[in-house]
Amino acid sequence: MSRLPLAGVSIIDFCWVGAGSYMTKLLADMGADVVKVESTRSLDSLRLAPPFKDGVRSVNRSGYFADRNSSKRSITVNMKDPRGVEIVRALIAEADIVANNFRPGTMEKLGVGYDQLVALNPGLIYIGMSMNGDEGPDRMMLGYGITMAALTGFLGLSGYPDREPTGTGTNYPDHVPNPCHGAFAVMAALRHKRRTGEGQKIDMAQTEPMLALMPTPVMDFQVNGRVATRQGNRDAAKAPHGVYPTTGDDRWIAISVGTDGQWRALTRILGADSLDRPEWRALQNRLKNCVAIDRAIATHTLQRDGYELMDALQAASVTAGVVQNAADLIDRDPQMRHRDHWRYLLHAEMGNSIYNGPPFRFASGPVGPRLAAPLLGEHTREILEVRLGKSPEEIDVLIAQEVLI
Amino acid sequence: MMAKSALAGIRVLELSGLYGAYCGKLFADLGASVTLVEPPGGSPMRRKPPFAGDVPGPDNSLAFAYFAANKDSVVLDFASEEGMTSLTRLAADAHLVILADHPAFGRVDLDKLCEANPALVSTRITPFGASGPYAHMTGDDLTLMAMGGLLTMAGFPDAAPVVAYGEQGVLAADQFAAVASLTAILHAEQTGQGELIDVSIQESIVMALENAAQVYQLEGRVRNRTGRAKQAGTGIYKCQDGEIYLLAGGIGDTQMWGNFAEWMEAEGVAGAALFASPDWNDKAAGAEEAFGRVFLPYAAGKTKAELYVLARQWRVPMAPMSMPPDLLDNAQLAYRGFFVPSPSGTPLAGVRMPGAPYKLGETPWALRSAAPRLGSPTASNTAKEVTA
Repeated sequence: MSRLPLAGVSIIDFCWVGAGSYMTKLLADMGADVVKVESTRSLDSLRLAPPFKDGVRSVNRSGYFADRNSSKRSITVNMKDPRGVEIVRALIAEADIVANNFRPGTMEKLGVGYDQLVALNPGLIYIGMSMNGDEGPDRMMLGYGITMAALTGFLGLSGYPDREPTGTGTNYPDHVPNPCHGAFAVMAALRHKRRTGEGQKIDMAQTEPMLALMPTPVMDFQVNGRVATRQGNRDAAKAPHGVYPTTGDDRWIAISVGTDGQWRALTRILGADSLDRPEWRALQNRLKNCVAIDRAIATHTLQRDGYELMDALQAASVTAGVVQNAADLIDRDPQMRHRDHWRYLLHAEMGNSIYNGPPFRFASGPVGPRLAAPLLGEHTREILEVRLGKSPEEIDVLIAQEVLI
Repeated sequence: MMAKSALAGIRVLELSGLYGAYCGKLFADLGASVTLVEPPGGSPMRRKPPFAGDVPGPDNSLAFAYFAANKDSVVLDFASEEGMTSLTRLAADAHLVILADHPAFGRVDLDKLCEANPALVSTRITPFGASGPYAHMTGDDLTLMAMGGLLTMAGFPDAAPVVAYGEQGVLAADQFAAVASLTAILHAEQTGQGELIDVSIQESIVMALENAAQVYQLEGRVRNRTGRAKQAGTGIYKCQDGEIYLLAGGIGDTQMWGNFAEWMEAEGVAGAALFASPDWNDKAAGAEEAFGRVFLPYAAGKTKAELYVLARQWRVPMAPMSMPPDLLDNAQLAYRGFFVPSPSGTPLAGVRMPGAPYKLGETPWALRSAAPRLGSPTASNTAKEVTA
């Protein structure tokens, strides 16, 4: 692909922290021109979230921020100054998309709400991604991925049944559900605009994509009166289905057995006569005895190297995978290398730094991060000169008068 | 009157099994015409429990009713020449083919379909990707969450890592596949050039590692499961009628801890002065115990709903720990009409299921038809329309 698929699509990006910024990263990495509107007076809090290059806490040194903001450019504008608002409005007049993940009303207070922009740019696509959406009694609540996980029940359903819920150990909705749904909605609106010239407002409550990804519990409750509970690593239709210790310090392997043939292969490869009991040969019986079976398997896996065991099981068509960590995925995993997942980009202050590329490959040519994350305000001069025709002297004045800060 | 649809005119063939369906659903719900191509005997999703009344049957699976709504169905036997000819004919007229774990996926030659239709976008979803050293390996949600690095961050240090609810790993790939596919369709509509897209489930899960890769690169530290967060005021706390999740300090550099301290002080909570003290360190040894001594007696006198309202007023991130029945009663979700009744014509008619994950002002999400019955294309106008 000579031209990236979203080349020519212009986005003015007010998103900060997690989900919103990851959404615009996805679009930027596929070629969209994303200008991140920032201010030294009101920082994207992720700029000061660890880890930092050399452990030095500074606005241009957060690895967490960097990964979420590849391929974007940053301008700093004081939105409390009317001249700052006018500059941003002038940029929006020429843009396709405006994105934010503030609480409802914040964009309006800044002078860049949808209704304030639509006369300026009738074809504008505008997405707001607050926690609970633009309407309703809880619309003003602020949230993070983890509190959305709690509210949606995702957290409460994830973990061991007899212990406190553990979820994913991360702010999961920020990393996949909300960035992907936001990007999909924006591109659907872009298609509509290309066909009709019509823009629109998109209101995405960040709790709702997560709920759309877990339909069964609410349906099962209504239809069968069943209240879902935490199941640990168990599965209703597979046994064994669990995570077992291997050699090494805190190393584990996940094994999933769906058929009786896989069970026979597993017992053979583990060399475990004690597992090959007639009463465990049928799935229904294994499901009933999974506690005893899990315990017995663990005594055998504990003697084995995880990767060797995975290879042996996979060769016999038994589904198994090592519990890998970030170090494994970066230093060791040959598939990640084959797919060129990790991208290393030269950052002005952080040097050679690691970024996620997209989890898909296009046959026509590479897509993915083109630029390291921007320094705070790195592109203020460039954008104002090229887009708005401001002279260097005019920009000097606007900086001195604390408009472009 | 039919509302406008953003994806009207896009024809999608979905060759899914237990995954791939959410990718098709995202297209169908915004107006694309999505045809589920089922093997004789039906999609494996039709056999996925739980079932209505706990009775298995091709139209009884709750998951199928949800994931296949708004789609048509056609049964093709890829083992027969006739079946393959039909697929080729359908693909010649399609904009997107989604190939996932359809039971006969090995017989489908996407390159050939792309050759016959140069504007076609073909998206293949596999556990590890279409080529490479792991391309031959099998995977399911559990083993791919393991290989993708998310599993290691979930659980307690004294027990095996524990996988998140609801097969989110395979659903992650469906979502990225949808984003990539629509991007390529937009490009194809402008240039006439289609695309062949290769989506890896493992790699889709890697996208969810938060800052773990950067923590490793910059600090040389490997993020692993920690159970409860090692920060006072962060985690699950009991209250009068259940539990809440509190993230009193927010993430990164915020004023939220100050907001929380003001809230506690304004409520006259005994010992709350501790939180406003300049010496307070939420990561110090004993901080969590000290936090609990002040906060828990206060929380014990408040309901989830009361605390949620107060947290909103004081701008502190907090949420009730919901369970499924709570969601159906959630006033905010009800206000937005999030749950929508399943269309008539199936055993699940009237059962509420998740609705619009986003509200597009001009081209709304719409539930138009129930999941198709096996082998009989649904008329897309039978069910009443529910719009976002």
